[in-house]
Amino acid sequence: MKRATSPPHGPMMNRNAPRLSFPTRMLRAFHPVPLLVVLLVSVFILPPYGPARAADGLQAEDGVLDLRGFDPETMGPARLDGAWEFYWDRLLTPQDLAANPAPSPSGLLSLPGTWRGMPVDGERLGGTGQATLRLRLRLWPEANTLTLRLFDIPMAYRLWANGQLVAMNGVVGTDADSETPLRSLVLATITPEGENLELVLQISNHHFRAGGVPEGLLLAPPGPLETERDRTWTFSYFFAGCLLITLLYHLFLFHLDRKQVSAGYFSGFCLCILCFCMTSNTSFWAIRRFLPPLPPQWSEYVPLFFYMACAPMLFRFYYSLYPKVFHPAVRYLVDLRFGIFLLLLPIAPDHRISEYIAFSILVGLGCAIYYVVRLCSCARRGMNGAGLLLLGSAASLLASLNDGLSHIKHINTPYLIEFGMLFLIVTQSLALAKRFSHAFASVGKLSGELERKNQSLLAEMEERNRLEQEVINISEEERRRISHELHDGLCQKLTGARLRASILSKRLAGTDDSTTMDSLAALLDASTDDAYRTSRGLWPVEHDPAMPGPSLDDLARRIAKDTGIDVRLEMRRHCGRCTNPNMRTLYRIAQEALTNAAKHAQAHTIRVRLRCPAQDGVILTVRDDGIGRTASARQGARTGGLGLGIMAHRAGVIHAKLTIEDAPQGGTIVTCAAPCDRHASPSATRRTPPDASR
Amino acid sequence: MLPVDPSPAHADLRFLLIDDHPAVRQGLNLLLESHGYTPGVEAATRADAKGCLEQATFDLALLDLSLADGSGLDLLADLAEHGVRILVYSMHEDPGTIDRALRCGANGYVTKREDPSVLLEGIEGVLRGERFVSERAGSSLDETAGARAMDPLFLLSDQERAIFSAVGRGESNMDVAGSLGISPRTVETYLARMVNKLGLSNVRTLRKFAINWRE
Repeated sequence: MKRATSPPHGPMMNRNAPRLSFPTRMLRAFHPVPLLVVLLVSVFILPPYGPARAADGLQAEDGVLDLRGFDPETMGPARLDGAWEFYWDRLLTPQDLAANPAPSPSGLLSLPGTWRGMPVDGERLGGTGQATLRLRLRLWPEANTLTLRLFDIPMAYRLWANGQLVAMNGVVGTDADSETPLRSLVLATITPEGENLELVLQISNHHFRAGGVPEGLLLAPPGPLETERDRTWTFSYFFAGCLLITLLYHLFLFHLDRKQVSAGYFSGFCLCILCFCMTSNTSFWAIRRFLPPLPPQWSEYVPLFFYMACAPMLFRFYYSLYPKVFHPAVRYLVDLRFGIFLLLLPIAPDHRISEYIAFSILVGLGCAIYYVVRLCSCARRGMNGAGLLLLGSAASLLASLNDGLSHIKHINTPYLIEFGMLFLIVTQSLALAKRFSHAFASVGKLSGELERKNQSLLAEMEERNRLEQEVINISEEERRRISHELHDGLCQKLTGARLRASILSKRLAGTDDSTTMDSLAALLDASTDDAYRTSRGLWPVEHDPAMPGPSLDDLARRIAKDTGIDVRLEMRRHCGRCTNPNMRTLYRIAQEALTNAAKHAQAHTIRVRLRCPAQDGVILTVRDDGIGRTASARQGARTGGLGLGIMAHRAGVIHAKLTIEDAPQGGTIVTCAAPCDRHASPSATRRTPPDASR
Repeated sequence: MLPVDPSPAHADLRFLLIDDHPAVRQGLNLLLESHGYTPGVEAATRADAKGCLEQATFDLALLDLSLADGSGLDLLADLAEHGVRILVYSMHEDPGTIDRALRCGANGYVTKREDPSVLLEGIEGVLRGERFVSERAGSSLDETAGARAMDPLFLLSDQERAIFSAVGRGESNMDVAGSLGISPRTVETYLARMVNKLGLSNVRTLRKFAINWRE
């Protein structure tokens, strides 16, 4: 029996998706290639299995099929396989065959099968041409109304039953121009009236590699064939729905985060599979239930286009997941395969394309095996999701093999590609979900760690701040203590000494020691002055009675007195008696700013303002009319910079905001806004005491 | 110039020297002695000074404001009540302190940085019944005289200020006495003094004033 070694048209898909369904852990233990080879070889050499291709050995012989003993109830649809009368290169009608003398057949054609390579008149036939087939049947009793299924004959044909035209597919012609091929599922209704049935089938093939009847005809009472068709459609729609949701979900993921290229390729792969299945024979061309049929040539190539496009998508998907395991070179191979297909489409004759498709299927099979092997490697390394992907691609590889073998009638099993694809898509979705979940978990863990580190950092900063405050407090306390020692200790003792010196001066007046005594007295005076000034500079003894810390009044006055600069102080305090502890720091900042202005800025006037804007803390402003920051920095060099640094540091410790800017008319403005929790709380009635603005 | 010979009139004068530094007290006594005055009675603390006041009468007190047990400002009222003239002799040169001392009953103010001869001038001036403010103290006072006059609380001594604040917080006399470690009667005395100093009509008005002041 002759049989095309490879189907004229892609038997169903078999995308590239091999995989062996073994638990990942076990796979780590051994290499998958030998197993694959054994599997593939055994599948091809196994004896054909499944129900007999013609029910119970009923085969047509010499154009006659005797089904009188056939029981459709128990045996299912009858397959009209076997030897049909074959009239080569003739398109005969039942009338032509009934003529006298009757035309003689060119031979017998075994169905399902093609006429390519068949010897007629001493020559082997090519794939293209046209022919008429005839089969005479003896039917089982009570075969009143019957359904005849013609499935996936990708050419043009017409079928007569007992002289009645019952089915038509495309337009039968004698050359490529006059012929219009079409793939379809046709369920023809036949009413035989009696036990004899004559079937006449005209077939023309001018577009494909090999003409004939690749898929056998089935005959059954109404019911089972219709049910099978409806089932296929139902599952196809279910399959399409699943794919559509998966597609949209991953497309949206990709849209949200363009870095998730694997989700993008996966949705592309889903789209290709969806379009392929809906427009191909696997779903009985389910799409035609919704959309008007495409032009005949298109309806042939649209599913092929999507079939060919799957491979680049799938490879990119794997490659984006495991770039270190998959070889970039394979991408060129799958792209080349698709690119050549696109190039051939407009220029090559149909049968060349169909030959290329057959070749592509083999390449695809090789890719599928490559994927399984690589995924095994991933799984062995324990890569995230690889086990699931391996499972899915192994299942789809098996489904492809099954369909391929089934298509060439090596085995007789239903097409499984849709199940295989669904399983592949589901496992791929799960693998992606696993990876995403892993990524989310990592992000969550990372942000948790960050949060913890942040917390400890904050605590550390808090502690450092506290310590800095402590250091400042200690230093202030030290200054206070030293100042106090000077003021109340050394100064007092010096006073006592000076009192005595004055007495001695009086006694020694007019003597030789008088001069020495006078200079001693002067020395004591100078020492007292020094000690006093140092003491006041370190820690102003005069504290403002109306607020914490030293008196700004006194500070301004002293600077004015010491430098001759006009220092003006303006205070608009919110509370009669200020209790904000930050005032001490503000005093030091004011002291620093005033000292800077006095020492380096060559100012004539300095205005010091202390304000408490409503709900806005305390704001200290020191503004001079000097030469500005740049010039004074040049002069003050290091000390100026150090002063600014110390100011900023002090401000930071009390969480105050320090800004130093150039005044519009020249000079510098130092502003320090310190928080105040005292007057931040709303106080209903407030009487401004008489000295609120001093 | 200082009188070189001690005048017999001077010898009768009784001085009270209040300063926590023995060196200063001794120096002062030597100075007084060298100028014909009788050495004064020395007191190192407020408590000592009060004890002395109970036991004897004095013509003039030389008062330091920084004492071991508090501010000398709080002694001013006691001294004044005993009819003692007061010349403050202190390191403090800030106008606030000088102003308060003068308002609270001091008759004169000489800073310790000034030449001892200025102190002698001050002693003489105050003994003559004059108000003596040394040059250094005077110039310090002048700088802020205007602004300072606007602060009624400048009349109050430190202790009085503490009590004023406590009253402003709404504390009772007992609370104040407890927190400051003094007797409730003393608190009442302080309150009465403050009423006078601030020109208020009674203690109740003082309380309201203190509460509103505090905000």
